[in-house]
Amino acid sequence: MCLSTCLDISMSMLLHLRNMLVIFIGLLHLVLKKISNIDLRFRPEIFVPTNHADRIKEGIFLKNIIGNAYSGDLVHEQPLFLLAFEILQEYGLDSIAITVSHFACGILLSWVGREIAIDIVKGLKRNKVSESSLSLMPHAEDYVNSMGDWILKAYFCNPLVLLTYISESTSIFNNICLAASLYGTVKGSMVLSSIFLALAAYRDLYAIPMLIPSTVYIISKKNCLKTQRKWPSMYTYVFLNLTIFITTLGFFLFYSFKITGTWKFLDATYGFVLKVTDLRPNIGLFWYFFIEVFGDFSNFFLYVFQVNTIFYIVPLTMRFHKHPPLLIYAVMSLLAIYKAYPSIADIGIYISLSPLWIYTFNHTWHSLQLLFMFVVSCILGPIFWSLWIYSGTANANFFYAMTLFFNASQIFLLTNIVLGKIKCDFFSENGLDLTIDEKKVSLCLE
Amino acid sequence: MAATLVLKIMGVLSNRTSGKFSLLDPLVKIVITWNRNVCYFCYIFGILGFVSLAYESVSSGVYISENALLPGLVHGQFNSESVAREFLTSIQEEASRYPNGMPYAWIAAQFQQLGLDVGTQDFVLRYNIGPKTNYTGRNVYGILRARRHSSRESVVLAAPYRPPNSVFTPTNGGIALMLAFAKAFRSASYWAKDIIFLVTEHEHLGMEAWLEAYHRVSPAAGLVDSGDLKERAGSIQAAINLEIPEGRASYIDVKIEGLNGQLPNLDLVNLAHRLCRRERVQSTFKKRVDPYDGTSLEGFLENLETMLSMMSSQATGVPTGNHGFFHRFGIEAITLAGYYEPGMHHPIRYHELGRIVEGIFRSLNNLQERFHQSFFFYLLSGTNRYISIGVYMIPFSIMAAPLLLRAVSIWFDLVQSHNAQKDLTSLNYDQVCGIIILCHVFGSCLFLLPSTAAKLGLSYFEFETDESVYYGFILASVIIAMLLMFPVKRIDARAIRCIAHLEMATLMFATALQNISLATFQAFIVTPLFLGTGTASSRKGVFFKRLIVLLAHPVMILHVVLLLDAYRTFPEETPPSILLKSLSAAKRSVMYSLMDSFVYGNKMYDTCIQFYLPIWMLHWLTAGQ
Repeated sequence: MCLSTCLDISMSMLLHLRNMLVIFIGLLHLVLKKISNIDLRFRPEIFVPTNHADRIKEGIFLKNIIGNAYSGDLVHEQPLFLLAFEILQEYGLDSIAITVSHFACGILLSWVGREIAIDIVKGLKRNKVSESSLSLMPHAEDYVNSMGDWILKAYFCNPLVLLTYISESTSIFNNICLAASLYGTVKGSMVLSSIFLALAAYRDLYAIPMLIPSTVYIISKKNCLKTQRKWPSMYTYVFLNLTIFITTLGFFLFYSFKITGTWKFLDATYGFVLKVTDLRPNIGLFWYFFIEVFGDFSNFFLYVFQVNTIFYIVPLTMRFHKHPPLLIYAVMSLLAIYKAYPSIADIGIYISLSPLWIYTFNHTWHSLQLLFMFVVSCILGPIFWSLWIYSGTANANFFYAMTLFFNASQIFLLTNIVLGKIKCDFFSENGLDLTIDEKKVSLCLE
Repeated sequence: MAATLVLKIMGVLSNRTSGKFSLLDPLVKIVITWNRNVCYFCYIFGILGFVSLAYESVSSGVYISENALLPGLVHGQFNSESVAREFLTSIQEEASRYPNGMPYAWIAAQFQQLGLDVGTQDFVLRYNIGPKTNYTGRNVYGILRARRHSSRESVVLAAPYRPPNSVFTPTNGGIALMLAFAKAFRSASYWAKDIIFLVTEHEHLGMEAWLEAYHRVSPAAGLVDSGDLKERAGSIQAAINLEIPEGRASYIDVKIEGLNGQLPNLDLVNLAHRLCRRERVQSTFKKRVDPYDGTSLEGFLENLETMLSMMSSQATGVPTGNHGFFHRFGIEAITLAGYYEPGMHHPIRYHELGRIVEGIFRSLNNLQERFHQSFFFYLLSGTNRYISIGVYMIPFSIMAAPLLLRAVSIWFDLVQSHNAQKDLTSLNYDQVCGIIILCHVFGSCLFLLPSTAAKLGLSYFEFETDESVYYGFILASVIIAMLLMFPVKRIDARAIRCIAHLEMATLMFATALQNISLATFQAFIVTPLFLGTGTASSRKGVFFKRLIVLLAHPVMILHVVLLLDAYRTFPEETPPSILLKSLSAAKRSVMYSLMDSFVYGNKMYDTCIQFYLPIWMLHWLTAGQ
């Protein structure tokens, strides 16, 4: 009797939840992880040298046997993470930790999305022509309220995220740090944001540039640009944020030095990422180019490629410092595209944040082509890989062409969002209906 | 031209500032307003284009692209006619003692006497559909170690052994030739690659087991327990499989189609044909002689029939001979099969056959690197005409484009109606996503069906395995169709159909990269059926649409194709007996495709269950709405 009432209540609660689909898919993730026996260990899309769980096992083994995990050229994981994995594995918790991080990352991202949505609506309301700017978003409340759901769906329905999860790629830990840092950022909490960002940067060097948009976001959150107050000024926040970040990262690095006894781990981790010594195929842009380029020039191009990764942040910050949500999104996606060893884990997390820009959908969005570009590259990539590696009937160019195509579609997505945002801003300042010489005109991009 | 069109379409699609499309571009306008006509025009034009590929001025003449092969440059030295004949009589004598088995000991002893490194391999197939049974077999192989190299590369000369009681024609001629070849060339100083002489048992199974053991991997489900090999000879560069009958043979057929429709490098195929021609032996493709005048109408029709014959065997994804399993490991392989037809050609002697094999192996011996120069993706319309991927993709794309065009037009429709409502949320994304995911989950569940059906069928109805699997499939299809008949409230049929079209088009293009024939037949059958789905206003119309979708069900397609095939093969039979024949063929073919999928890793069944059936379900769900 009691049990049936309980069941009844819980069922009705479940049914009333708006995101039945998300719960279903979340359960599906767990089931798939449990039952899937697909061997994903050799997939170049999922695993790069920096996120392979097997390499961590190797590192722990080497550490225990000869005391130095970095003696070979296999381990590129930070000492503290190796230690953490060792403890987790000792208690058999490594798989649970991955599961928890995976789901926590999704939930954190949905909270982040909601906060960002509130900020976006606020930003629109602040603009000059208030009514027309709101007509850009006729259902502003709906937009804010449903954003959490949207992002949960985009995260859990995302095959890239699913594959990352069932393959137990350790990039998940990176993603959870990044998501936590984003959460701190959008909440305006400098400490949370910087500490988690430092943790992410400790594991993956390419998280460091995220410091810029997150600082910009926090400053805008604190509203210190508008008010003319002297203290705390913008520079105080910049200084504080930097200090916390550097102190935390320095602490991690120094502690790593303490437990390993040498600074050699830096060369195996940061050095490995900066020098791009592993040219095995992945979905990035580096490997093919550095295989082809003559040795004499490879250093030069290494600088060019690495600078290229972070270079766009400067103009983007200059242009969009008033729109920190867009800035943060753009920097995240640029880093995921241009980093030396990208995997689908990096891409999955920023794609999950894409529903934020759904209100620009009506302005410019090559949605069908974009969708199709993504689908085609995601399907043809593995096919070309198997034709190249397993059947021997294709060659490296096929696979590289597909990764190029995939990266082009990501860039295309980003430019669309940025363009849509600019257009939206234009309309929110000038109104939707334009008249020139008392004639209604429509603007289009040629 | 195509690029500008794409850019224009993109421009039009992206120009949505004013809230409505400007259908300024006439090309885009045509595609959208006259969608139905454009679709059918593309379809018919694509078919005509594909058919015209067989015409001699569309296809190209073959040539040897890899310079290192140097075919026919060396003077043939094989002169062991009598030795081969002696081997043949000994094999026949030995074979008569084992009417069902293979004279392992005798073959191994012969290899041993010739001074080769001999190995045997035992394998077990653990059959898990229906009653659990184990099939065992043994392969025998000998390796001729090359004098000029250190066993890092090798070439394979293989022959399947067929016992006297087998239903297939014995291939003892091939084994005799192999032994004579080994005897003649074992002491030659010029071999730079090891030669592996391999005699396999149980047709495909033995070859699969040997290759799995050689490479220490199990690409299929791992039902074959293949053990390990004692002797190895480095990476295999190429393989020739011999199916030479005991008696007379008047022509040599070169078989190329491998597992999942994979083909060997065209250079190897050309090499075999060229060396046959040098020895004045008639070589054929699909047992068909090239027409005398390819430019005439008769010649065109003959070429077309050859091409279609190749396509239909490639589309099944089932290898035409033991060579087909090498392809998956990146090894180029062909089968040389001897056939006899009275009055066609004087019987071929071992002398000539030996020189052909010698020539092929001397050429392979010259190879500096793996075959990579020539085409891997092609269609053949004769022994000396080929159609490369760059040519056949054009008519195929035109043939498969209608689904894409239809999807684009539905998309425009959707977006326009949404813009009219000024409401982004009017499309129920949750419902659409949910239905699509659910259909795919349904499809994937069918992976569990065969073993369950076999178990249930055996215990409750005492059906044979193939019968219970077949009826299980029919039952599952009916249940799924019934479940999806219930109308879902306010279903966004157009959005679902748009995605189903896109997925089907993607599936076809993805298949075309691996197996163009399968993709072409897919496009040929499915495109008009799925174009026929759409909204219908009357009850009759809805019923008609459902009928069209029903025709596209995989089981339905299978039956229709097999019925036509039975009608073609037995034109003199009465209709009821043809129907019965096709039904029993359907039962067997379901079982065979399962076997191929589980034992050898044929992707046909998987693709059908995971992708095609869900697409069909989406269409069935939205039929007429």
